[in-house]
Amino acid sequence: MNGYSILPQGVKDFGPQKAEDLKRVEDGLLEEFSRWGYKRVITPLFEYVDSIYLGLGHDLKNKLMKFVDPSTGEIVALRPDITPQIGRIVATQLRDYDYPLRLCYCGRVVRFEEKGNGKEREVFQSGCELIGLKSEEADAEIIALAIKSLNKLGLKNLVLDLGHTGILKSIMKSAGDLKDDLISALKKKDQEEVKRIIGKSKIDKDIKKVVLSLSEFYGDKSVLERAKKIKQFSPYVNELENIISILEEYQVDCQVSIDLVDIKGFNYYTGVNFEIISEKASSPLLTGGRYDSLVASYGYDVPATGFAIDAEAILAITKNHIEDNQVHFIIIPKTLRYRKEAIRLTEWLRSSGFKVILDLNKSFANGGAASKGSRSLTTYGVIILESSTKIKLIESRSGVKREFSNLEELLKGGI
Amino acid sequence: MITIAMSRGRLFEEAVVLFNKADIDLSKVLDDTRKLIFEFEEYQLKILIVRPTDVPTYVEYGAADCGIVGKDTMMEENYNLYEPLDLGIGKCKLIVAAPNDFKMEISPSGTLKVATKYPKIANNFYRQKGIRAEIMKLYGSIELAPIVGLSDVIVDLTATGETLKENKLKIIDKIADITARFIVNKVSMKVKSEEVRGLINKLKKVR
Repeated sequence: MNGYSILPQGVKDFGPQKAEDLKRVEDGLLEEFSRWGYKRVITPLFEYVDSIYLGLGHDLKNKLMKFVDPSTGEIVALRPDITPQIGRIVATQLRDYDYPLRLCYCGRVVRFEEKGNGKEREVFQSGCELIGLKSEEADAEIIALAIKSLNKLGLKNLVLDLGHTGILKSIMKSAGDLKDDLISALKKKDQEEVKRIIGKSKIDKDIKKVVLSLSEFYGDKSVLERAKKIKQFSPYVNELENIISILEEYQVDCQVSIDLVDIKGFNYYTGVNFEIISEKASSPLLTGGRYDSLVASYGYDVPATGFAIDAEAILAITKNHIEDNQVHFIIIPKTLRYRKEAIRLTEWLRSSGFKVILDLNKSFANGGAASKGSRSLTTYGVIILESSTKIKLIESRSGVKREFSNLEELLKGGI
Repeated sequence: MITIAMSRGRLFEEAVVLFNKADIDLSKVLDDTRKLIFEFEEYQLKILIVRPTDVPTYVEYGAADCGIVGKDTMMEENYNLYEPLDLGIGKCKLIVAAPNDFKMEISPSGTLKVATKYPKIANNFYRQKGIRAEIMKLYGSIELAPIVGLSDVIVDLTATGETLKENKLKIIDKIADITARFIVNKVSMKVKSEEVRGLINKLKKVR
């Protein structure tokens, strides 16, 4: 193998089957998004690095694929996430639209991952953003849409993991210097480490108690009952409870898990946030949440909520390969004298919705068009124009040969 | 059924004792030293035998739901995992050791030569100290490096200090106390919540 055929770490090619499967996933998602009134936007592949930082903060600072734009000398980066781009266009170009705005997207993002950990650097993201509403109904709409679009792709037994950034934020205000250590311990659900950090600190006794209980606040819905008893958490818990009851009205089909400690996704989340997970996948299929200050960082203060789906993660757990990636017919004129008829027939079949290969070079005829090899390439059959009065159709499944005396006869009765 | 990734060795023997206290008898793993997968129908457990440094990888990618691994391994790489329990077994220290006659002077090249299995930990340690260190990654017999002049010091684990003593090395710095951690895949913690947390609580009680 020569060196040119080897790709950089974390990127890969998709062969015809996998590309078709991925397209099916993405098309399925976009179709469901549009059914809920979400309109697609397309954002550029790379942007000024400063513009990315504006929305993302320095979250992915070390994970950006940066380069110098040769024409201006400016530093640009491949987009690591699409949501900040949506924030930017909302703040700059879509201000005068009627709000709320319902937008969706489907594209690739690039993140630098440490070498050798086998993770993809290129992620296929499809997602929705609901901009201009700050309500439990809006959060519930986004969550319901997220779950239902996964259901549409045949995914069942999903788990919705719900959290609220407000809870950690309210605690961290009083954590002072310990904030970073505490967050990293809570992230690992390492209760003893939390205890150790808190133990030696001068934090107020009541807050210590709350922080200690915090690391146990994950599990089923009963967590909310326990969390509600802590006064400063109750507004957030109420919000979550209301959202859950709206989701019940949507009749979403998933198990609800609560995690008030986890930090999901990006730093830009400001309220309810969530992940959808499946037993079959080792990482979340979807991450989302409320981000009320992201758009403001681009100069227009408007609340928003949304989610992003990792289309490849979904592909990996939907095993129902699509059989009709196959072409339906192969048309072979015996000699080029019948080229015109062959093109006519091909075009007619294509306009009727069939997938057709026109084989003017007789590539499929080698070894006999009727051979099992070429037949197995098609769903319906191989059509050979042998002379102006003899057209042969060889059916794929049965191998049965049928003859027609002209095109009209074939078009009428044969197919 | 939950799957736990572990490695053979002293840590494993201590883990068997710990699980035994929680009425889970894993001792048949000790008898068969070639097998890599053990199923315990009666406890709904499956044990995977892997290399110590591979434990977090198996868990992060969901090939195992949980794992038992030394804190040293967790410190060396960034893993996206839960680390809910310090099992308190496999106690040892991560230390800097040097030959008995070693004096901390900057060598003519201006850098301290460090041999270790933990290049990232060693690098962070010396960066925080403001010492320029040249880190050499070795895979075993670390104690040999300063004896033959490959390095000035080593960063390594020690439990009793015996091996160090035998090789005429002394501890000059302690980086961290190390114990084994119970680690959990993020998705398993949520989708197998009852089983996983049930096991965590059992182990917590007997630790």
